[in-house]
Amino acid sequence: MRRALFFIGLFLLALSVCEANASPSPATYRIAGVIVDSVTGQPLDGAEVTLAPVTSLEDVQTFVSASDGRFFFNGLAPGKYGLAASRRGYASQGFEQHERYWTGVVVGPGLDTGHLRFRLAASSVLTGVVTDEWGDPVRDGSVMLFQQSMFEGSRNLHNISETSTDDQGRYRFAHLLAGTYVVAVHATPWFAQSQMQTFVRSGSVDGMAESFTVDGVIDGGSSTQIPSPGANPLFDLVYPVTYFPNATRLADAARVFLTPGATQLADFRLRTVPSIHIRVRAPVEPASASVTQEDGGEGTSIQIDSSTSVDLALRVGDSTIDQLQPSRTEIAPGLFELSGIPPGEFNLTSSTFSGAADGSYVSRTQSLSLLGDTDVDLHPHGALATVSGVVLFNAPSSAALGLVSPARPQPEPADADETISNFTLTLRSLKSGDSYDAAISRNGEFSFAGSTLPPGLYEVEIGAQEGLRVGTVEATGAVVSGRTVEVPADRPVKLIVHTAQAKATLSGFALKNGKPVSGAMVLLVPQDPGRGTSLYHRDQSDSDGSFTMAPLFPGRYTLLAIENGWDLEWSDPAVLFRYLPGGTPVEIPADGSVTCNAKVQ
Amino acid sequence: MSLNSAEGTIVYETGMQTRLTYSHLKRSKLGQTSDQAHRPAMLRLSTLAALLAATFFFLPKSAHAQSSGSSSSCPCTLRGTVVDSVSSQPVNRALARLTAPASRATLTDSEGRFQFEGLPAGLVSLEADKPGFLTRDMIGARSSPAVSVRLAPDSPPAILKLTPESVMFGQISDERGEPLEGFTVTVLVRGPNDGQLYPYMPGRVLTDDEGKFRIAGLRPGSYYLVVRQPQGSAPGSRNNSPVPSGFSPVFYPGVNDVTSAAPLKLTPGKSVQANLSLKREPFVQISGTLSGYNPRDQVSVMLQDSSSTAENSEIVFDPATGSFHTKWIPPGSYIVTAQSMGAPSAEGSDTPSQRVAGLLAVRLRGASLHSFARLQVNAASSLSDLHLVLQPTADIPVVVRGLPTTESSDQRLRQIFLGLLSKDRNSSSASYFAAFDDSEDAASSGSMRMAFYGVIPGTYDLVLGPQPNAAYYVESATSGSVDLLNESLVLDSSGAVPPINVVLRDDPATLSGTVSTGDTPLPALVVLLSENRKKPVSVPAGPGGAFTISGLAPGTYRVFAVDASANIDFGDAAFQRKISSKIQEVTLAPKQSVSINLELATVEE
Repeated sequence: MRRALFFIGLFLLALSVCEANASPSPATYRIAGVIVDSVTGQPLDGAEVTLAPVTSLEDVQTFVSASDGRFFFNGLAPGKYGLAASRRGYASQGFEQHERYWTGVVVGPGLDTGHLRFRLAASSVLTGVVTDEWGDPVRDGSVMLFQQSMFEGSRNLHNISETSTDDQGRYRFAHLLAGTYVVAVHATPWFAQSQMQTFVRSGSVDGMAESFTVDGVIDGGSSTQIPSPGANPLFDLVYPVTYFPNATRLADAARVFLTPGATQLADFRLRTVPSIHIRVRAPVEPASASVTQEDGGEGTSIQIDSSTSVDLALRVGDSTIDQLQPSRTEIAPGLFELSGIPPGEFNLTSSTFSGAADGSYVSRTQSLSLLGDTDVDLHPHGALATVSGVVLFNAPSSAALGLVSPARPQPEPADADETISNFTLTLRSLKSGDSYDAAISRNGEFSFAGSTLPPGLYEVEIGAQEGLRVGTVEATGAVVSGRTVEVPADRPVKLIVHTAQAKATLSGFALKNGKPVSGAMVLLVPQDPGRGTSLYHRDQSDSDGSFTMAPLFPGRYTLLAIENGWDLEWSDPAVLFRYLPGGTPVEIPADGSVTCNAKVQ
Repeated sequence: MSLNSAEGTIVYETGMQTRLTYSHLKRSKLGQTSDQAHRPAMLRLSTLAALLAATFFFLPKSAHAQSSGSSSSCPCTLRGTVVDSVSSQPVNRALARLTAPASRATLTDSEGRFQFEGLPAGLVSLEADKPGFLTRDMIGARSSPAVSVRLAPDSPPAILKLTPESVMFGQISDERGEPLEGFTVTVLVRGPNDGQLYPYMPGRVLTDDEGKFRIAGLRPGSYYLVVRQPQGSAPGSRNNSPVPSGFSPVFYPGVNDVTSAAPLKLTPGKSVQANLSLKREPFVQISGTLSGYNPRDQVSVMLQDSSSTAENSEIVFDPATGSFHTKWIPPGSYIVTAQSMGAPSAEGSDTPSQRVAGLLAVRLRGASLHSFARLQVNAASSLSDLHLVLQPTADIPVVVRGLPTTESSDQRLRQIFLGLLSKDRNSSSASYFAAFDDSEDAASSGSMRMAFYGVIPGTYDLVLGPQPNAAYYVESATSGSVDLLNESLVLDSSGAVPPINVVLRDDPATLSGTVSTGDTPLPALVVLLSENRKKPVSVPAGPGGAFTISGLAPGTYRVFAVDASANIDFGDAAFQRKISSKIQEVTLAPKQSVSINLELATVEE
């Protein structure tokens, strides 16, 4: 069962109802058991055990475990239930939880659900104080917690939680499972912050009273009226992203080992370093840039309005911080100076808006490692490629008829901005890793005109809502292999991108020698995985052995079920390869439900 | 301009400044009873009206003092110290910032000292910042300390006082002493206009795994505190009991009833602890029937807790049967309200658009509330037989006289602003803007017709004034025999109220001047008391102490200036006696401009 802890409210489970064939029965059933410490096996009193039918997760019942750790829920209708427990000093957990998955409890004729043993793991606390180099608390610092754990088939550092420091610089992560952690702080010196980001301007409520003061944040526009932070070295300071204990590189970060029930302290003392300044030259279409000079009382201010913008996102471990808010000046059309930047790894995105009413834009994202002041020239070297095309969103009904329509999938987004953010076509260079985005217009068209796309080998992706991806690609003027396009320099390329939608459901039972197995890892392995693990699907078999996966993209897959498989690094092909021969091949259709049992290995 | 000066201190959400925008006014559904979901909008509306009431006539011109130009023996060095206003200790690593005549900044040394070199003689403006000290007022504008100094070669060091912030902290537990995690702790402040408690937005936090909470950045003052079970954790059956249970909200110092709540008094730099215990108890359900609507009407039924500080929750209502019921809720006192917008698009397409004075064009009559019902219930246990009947709301006509007939109706609309500000202490009350009534063209006569549409019964203050810089003042505003400049308008359930008559005059006077202490001009609050108006009017002077107040009714005023951060009832006779030596009496003739110099009246705590 996929995780759907009631208090978190994952409603995905509503899609995965599996008791449709349960015949109506006047009988009621019971779920009962005992809450025990996962290490000592001692019964735990005072644990809040919650139960809700997977079909209506808001109908939560609670039982507070008795002094012998026992809990029971009576009068239950047949069906599948989610069971979770929490207790002071313990992490909140679903029944037999692994990562995002847990075992649903199925009640009905012939099923024993009266003797559950719910093993609750004692939790730990990680807390500390963040101060600056003079010992003053650092407020509103962003504290990131990384856990070294099995996640999506590999044992890596994963950003699992984030919090911020209070007025005393204090932070606190509670309910942590025992394990290995790395903790990092990202903050901005308050004096530099106040100068760079906050200014007060008078706003007037149209024709009413000029007496309202609007406190705003410089929105990354190109106003040069704010004193340049570079002018005063005091404001040109930043804190590097700092890992406990006061390391500025992830490689130097300490691994913090949390034992069950422990409270671990991790204090930080942040030291300012001079901000990195970068100058980015981005190509600008001359027609779309304007420079306005205004002679005001406090000197001349120049307003540059080009349609190009440059953004930086800081990468920390596997997560990015996009609230970096560097101070940004457009010195000349297409020439940007960014400051307030700590050393580190970044994603640099330059975007050009066409100014057309449909909000079309092209952008390019590349990774950037910054240790000192840097000039970045985004102007193309050599010949450029010309790529345009159309994305065909296959409507379900027309797909059945073999027709395609250049229409959006349902529902039509009402907000134009939402359309922009939800629908982009990405060409990811297999050589450099840079990605080039173009907005997809309402009628499905896209163009990389105005982009600095060089010729090369690209994978085609769609940035859209979940459950939509590139199915097949056709091209005129280029060679296509699967979802990869070889884009030449000397001729225009037209792409037709067919989308695939995840709409299918796979369900069945995990069986070993014909008997259902509870708590097994069920893994659906795509034959053509593409990049990443997004096409892989997993579930944990429920107490009757049942599992459900949805929504699935059409294609050929192999279905595996592995008992005690939760520690497997299955994202490693060598590991997975051992299990594939024992799997069951499955063909997932475009739509509808497939039933297939999984042989437990 | 600082806004913390209107009729006492305006202390609402600090996020307010960004929300007082045109679009939010639009969204707040002017002229309607605020329903549960619109409560924050209504708060803004009433706040806005309160601000307008206080500042309407009296918008000081930009008060940047000019430098005096006697720059004989400078460039000079400005020296100064940043100190803690409570302990008088120097504040190290504070940011000292020069804002005029140039923009510069530096951090103080370990003795709290700073200096700026090479400055011309004349007026310089300074401010200071440091985390842990209050540098912005409740609505986000810079407040203290903005200091102006007249710089000369022999100038003494400038002293910038920073007021330390106050902190509230504590621990929340259940009746067994077990910490309650994830509970919402909300700081509340009493609204100056209606006496209601309003959430103070930065002061909303969740308890941690030890049940602890901490709220910093508070200004000195009186605060209330309420702890609630988190929303979304709807109470369900517990230990197989058929009746769900949960925790009722608890107000400091540990009471369920808001009327028994006591404030926590915070002095500058003080940390106050508030530990509260909540008790699990069976929850209740309220149900009943509603009548008085047509099948096509858009009807909604809402539940408000009597403290008016919780977010309102929707009641399940079935228009077909008229029955409604709540979810499982804590036992206590509630108000059930029902409202109807009438049938959708009943007259919308035919009605000429109704324009709110100078603000926006909306079809107010079509969009206003059609009928309304309110019932207060005490639900110590579940209630099932409630009955509510929707009653029609009132339309109150307004006639404005004294505007020139030569102007178009649009121009005339921009000359006057009218609002009805609810004085009722319950959250179903609402405030209204008058809409222009152009259903009959009255432009050729000497008067302009407006109306308040869809007003629910209650007690209201008329908020009115010409637009800023307009050459008008309000001579009188009446409803029958009620003088609305000094008295409230009471609308009873009969809905019958005489039309409102407003008379404008076009010969207002202007008062300007400077506030100073000794020789130093300084920012302050200028207060005007009039014999004809019960309410004092206060206007902030700028950083250089200069103020200009236009649009004044001719007459005699008593004028004085106090520190901008003072929290005083200016109308209090004892207070006025105390500062009587600093009060000036000024008589303004029609169209006259008078300039005065005010000595700051110091207020003893």
